[in-house]
Amino acid sequence: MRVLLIEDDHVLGAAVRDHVLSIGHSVDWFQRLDEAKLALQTITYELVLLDLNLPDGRGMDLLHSLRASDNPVPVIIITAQDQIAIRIEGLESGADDYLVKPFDLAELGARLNAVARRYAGQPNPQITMGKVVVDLGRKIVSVSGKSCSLTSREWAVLDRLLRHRGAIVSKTDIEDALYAFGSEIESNAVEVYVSRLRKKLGRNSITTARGLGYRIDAQ
Amino acid sequence: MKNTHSIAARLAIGLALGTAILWAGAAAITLLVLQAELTESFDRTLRQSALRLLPLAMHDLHEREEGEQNELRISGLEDADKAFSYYVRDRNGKPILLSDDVAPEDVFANVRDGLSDIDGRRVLALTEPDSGYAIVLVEAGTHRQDIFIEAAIALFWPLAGLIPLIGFGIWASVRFALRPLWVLRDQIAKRGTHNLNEISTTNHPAELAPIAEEVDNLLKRLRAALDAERSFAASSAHELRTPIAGALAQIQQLMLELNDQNAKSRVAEVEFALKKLASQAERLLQLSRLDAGFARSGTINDLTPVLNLVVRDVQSGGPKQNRITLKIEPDADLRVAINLDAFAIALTNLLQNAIKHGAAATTVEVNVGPGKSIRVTNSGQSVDQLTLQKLGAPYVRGNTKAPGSGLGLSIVRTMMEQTGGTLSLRSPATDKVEGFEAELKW
Repeated sequence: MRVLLIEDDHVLGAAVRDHVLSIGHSVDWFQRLDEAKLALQTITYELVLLDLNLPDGRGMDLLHSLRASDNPVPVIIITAQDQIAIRIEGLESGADDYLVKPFDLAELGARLNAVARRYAGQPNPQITMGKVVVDLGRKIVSVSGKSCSLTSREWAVLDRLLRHRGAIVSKTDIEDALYAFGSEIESNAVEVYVSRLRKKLGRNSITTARGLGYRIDAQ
Repeated sequence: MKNTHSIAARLAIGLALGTAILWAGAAAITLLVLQAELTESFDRTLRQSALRLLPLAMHDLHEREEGEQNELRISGLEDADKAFSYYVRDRNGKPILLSDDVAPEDVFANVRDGLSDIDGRRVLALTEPDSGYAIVLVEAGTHRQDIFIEAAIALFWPLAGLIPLIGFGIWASVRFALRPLWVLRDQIAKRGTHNLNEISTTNHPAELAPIAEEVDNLLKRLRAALDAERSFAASSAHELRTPIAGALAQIQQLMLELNDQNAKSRVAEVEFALKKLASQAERLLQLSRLDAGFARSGTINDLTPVLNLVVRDVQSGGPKQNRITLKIEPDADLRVAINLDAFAIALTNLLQNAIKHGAAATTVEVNVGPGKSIRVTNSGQSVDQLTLQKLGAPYVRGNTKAPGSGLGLSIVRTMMEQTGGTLSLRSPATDKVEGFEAELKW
């Protein structure tokens, strides 16, 4: 899952970014609202972590503009403001959850995954695909009952495909999920990670739609 | 009990007494004038009577001298008011003609012409110069006194009946006139530490309008000062939370990345200290906001959405093995004049306490109603009565090893007091043999 983190505090932002990366999601981190708006115009994110007090404006304004433009991206507000009125305004403005600082990173991760699952129409974090069982919440995969280890990038590709289960995900979309890990990726990176996943999960776990992308079947 | 005086009662009593004294004074002066006028009038009547009676008496005497030498007695009308008697004396002073009601003591030996007072009687003597006969009129001593007393009574008796009526009239008028003052008094009396709402500055009489405006200005300045204090507390909360959040997040991430168990333990200690710092800072900020009368609200708020939000937040942020059940009775009424943030803080404190100090893997019950009441109940060991009585005071904690500041219940209690409500603590919980129950009631 590609996450947009908008947080102006350097210490907190760095810790959140590292934690979200460590639980298998890619992150783009911006400390200003204008930079975040630009990123939202060019990249499709699957979740936004939004601070409300930013140097160049209010995070609530960004939330309003997202919802006004029918952008359905899930938004979790992270703020030091604990006023109920602001919290209610945030939720009524289209935020999916609200975390008051200071918070546990584990709680942030849990809420992030829960919101993402709700949006993917998969409230149950456990997905079964034949012999393969994926626990999106705990980041555990087992094949025929045996635990299977995945790298962060492999998780990012699997997560992107599972969130659009049954539908074809373009190579560009999968590349987006990989780009945010911070390093350059090769032109054949998607094919490489899909191939690795097939080796670990089974040859037929991911279907190739020639010229269009990849798909994990709904059943 | 305060020794307070009523301005209305004082005014009514003072004005009634003043009126009575003035009335009595005026009546006394009137009586003096009346007495002088009565004396003059009666004297004039005596003289007129003497002037008319003397020729008649002389006529009777002339007719009598031819035949009789004894005193002649003249009868009056039987029912006539015999206020005075008269007699005629010759030039030697011997009475020769008397009205029939002349008593012996009314016949004086020597009476000078003119008016004189003899033995309490008013006497007028008038001598006919040619014959030397004189007529003496004697007015009974009580005649004028009786008339004077009647006049005095006529002047004074209304006072006895009118003074209470005047007193009541003054009291009613004063009450009516002071009504705006009482309205203003009631408005000001309702203001206090926890109620600084504006007071009406319209429809006051000219004497009170400046007072109302000055009091309202003072309240505005107080509100502004307290708002600034609250704003400062809120800003401080923001400024404190962000660096604490950053430090805590970095420490937690570091702990995830470390492989060395010793280093992990040390980092865990730092994390614990940071969480304690965060909790203490939060409590102190809540206290500072309370000092500014933060809990009271000028408007009635529906607490239901906040209740649901807080229950959801605490549930999702707390241990997963503890479940919170929320039950709202049909007759529950959660419209209360409390600041929504204050209510959220109070309920959060109670729920976190219930989870922290309750038995593991048990349910925390939130029961709303009947009326304006919320009960938060947990399961677990009961609290002894001695500790229960002390709980709710600042820095007092129960017999527990769970981390805490001892300020949570104290903050809740202060919030309830500021909003006219109560916090009741019970253990065992109602209808249970164990557990702890905290009830918010307005």
